Amino acid sequence: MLKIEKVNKNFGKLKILKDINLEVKKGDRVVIIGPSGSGKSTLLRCINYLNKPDSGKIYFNDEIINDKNIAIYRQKIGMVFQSFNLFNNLNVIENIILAPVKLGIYSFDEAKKKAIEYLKRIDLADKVSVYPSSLSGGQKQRVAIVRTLMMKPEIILFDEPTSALDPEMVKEVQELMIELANEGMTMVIVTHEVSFVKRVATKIVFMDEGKIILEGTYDEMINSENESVKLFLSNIK
Amino acid sequence: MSRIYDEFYKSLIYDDRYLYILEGLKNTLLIAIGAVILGILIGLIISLVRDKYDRFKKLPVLNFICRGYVTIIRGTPALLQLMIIYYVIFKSVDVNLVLVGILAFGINSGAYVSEIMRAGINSVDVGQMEAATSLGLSYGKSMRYVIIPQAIKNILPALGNEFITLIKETSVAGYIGIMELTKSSDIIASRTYNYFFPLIITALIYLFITSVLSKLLSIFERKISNA
Repeated sequence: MLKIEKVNKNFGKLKILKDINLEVKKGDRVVIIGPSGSGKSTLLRCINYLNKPDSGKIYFNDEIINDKNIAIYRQKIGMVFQSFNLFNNLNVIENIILAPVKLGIYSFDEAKKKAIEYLKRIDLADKVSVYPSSLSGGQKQRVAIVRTLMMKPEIILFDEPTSALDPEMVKEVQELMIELANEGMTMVIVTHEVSFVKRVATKIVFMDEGKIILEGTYDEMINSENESVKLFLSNIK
Repeated sequence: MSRIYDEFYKSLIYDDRYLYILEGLKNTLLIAIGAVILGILIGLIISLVRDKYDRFKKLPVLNFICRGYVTIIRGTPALLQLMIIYYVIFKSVDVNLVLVGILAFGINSGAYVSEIMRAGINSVDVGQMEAATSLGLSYGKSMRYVIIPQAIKNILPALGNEFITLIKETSVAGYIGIMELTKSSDIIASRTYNYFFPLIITALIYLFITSVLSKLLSIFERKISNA
């Protein structure tokens, strides 16, 4: 479904990504893990061109993503941000239906109906006309996930979705993500929560200093002899 | 006392001289309103071009032109710009002077308005644009439905101030013969050989207009900051 080929990204003189290769198949749940500044988020943001790669190719369903077609592919590649990024000027339901209505995926009435279904599912049906500023972090992030789901994405990128949350709210967001996983959604997740990784990942990618150090299962990572992997895991526990 | 009344009478009432003031006031307001509308149009286009360049490095040539425009306009006196437009560009054309005023001050104001709008757009968190475009919305739609509605809170008060500034700035338009408020007092004074009354009266009119507008603006600002 997604193939990343020799992707490089620099910020000025700083090399953030060095020749990254990665493949994500339909139904995969790839978790990218590694120390801060290792390039995890940049890699994720390169996939949907929020950061444009300096070189290399990204294929989505065997088509090369470029400047011209990215808007189309972004509809199919959902993105969930660390800081939620709900639209502050719109209430909950307007946040959810803006893009699908403006892009003709649903009519206004269909979109509304679908949105309310989703909001019921995440127990926020009573927040339909509330503005983001009066939601808790966990509620914001769940609304943001629903906003992405409304686009009927084939894959969703999660950029540290629980890092900005209070500990008691992490779970509600993780549960929703696991529900999606069980329904077969393809996901790429950047996270620091190792216990969550174990529950959700079909493949783990460990990054350090802009390179992929290790690619494998949870057990392979835990038992890895690589120094930076070991150091990272010992710091987290 | 009667001398003061006499001067007042000569300055305003005799020969219906207050009509000069009214005509001047009308033209001052016409130029200021026309210029601020033109300025908003120009400012919006420039700020969007520059924003698109800043975010995506698109439209480099247009961006270069816009930057040049802003630099030139902000770096030269408004009176000089007015004179260039009137004496150089409209040199041999028979053209309505108020229109020249609107054009000159509008072009001038556009540079300042573009900076006001840029500041307003930049005050919106970058994550808002990222979220909008990551859903597949185009730059234009993201701007229209997400960014501008949030930026407008910061832009409108500054635009009000720009309008107030413009009302005062148009006082130099008399230089090319436009009958605006300041020029009208000058005309009356040249008839009566007394500058005191006409100048003080026009000063009070400017003060009145700008004070009322400032007051309205602060009420408006309080309203939108609560919303």
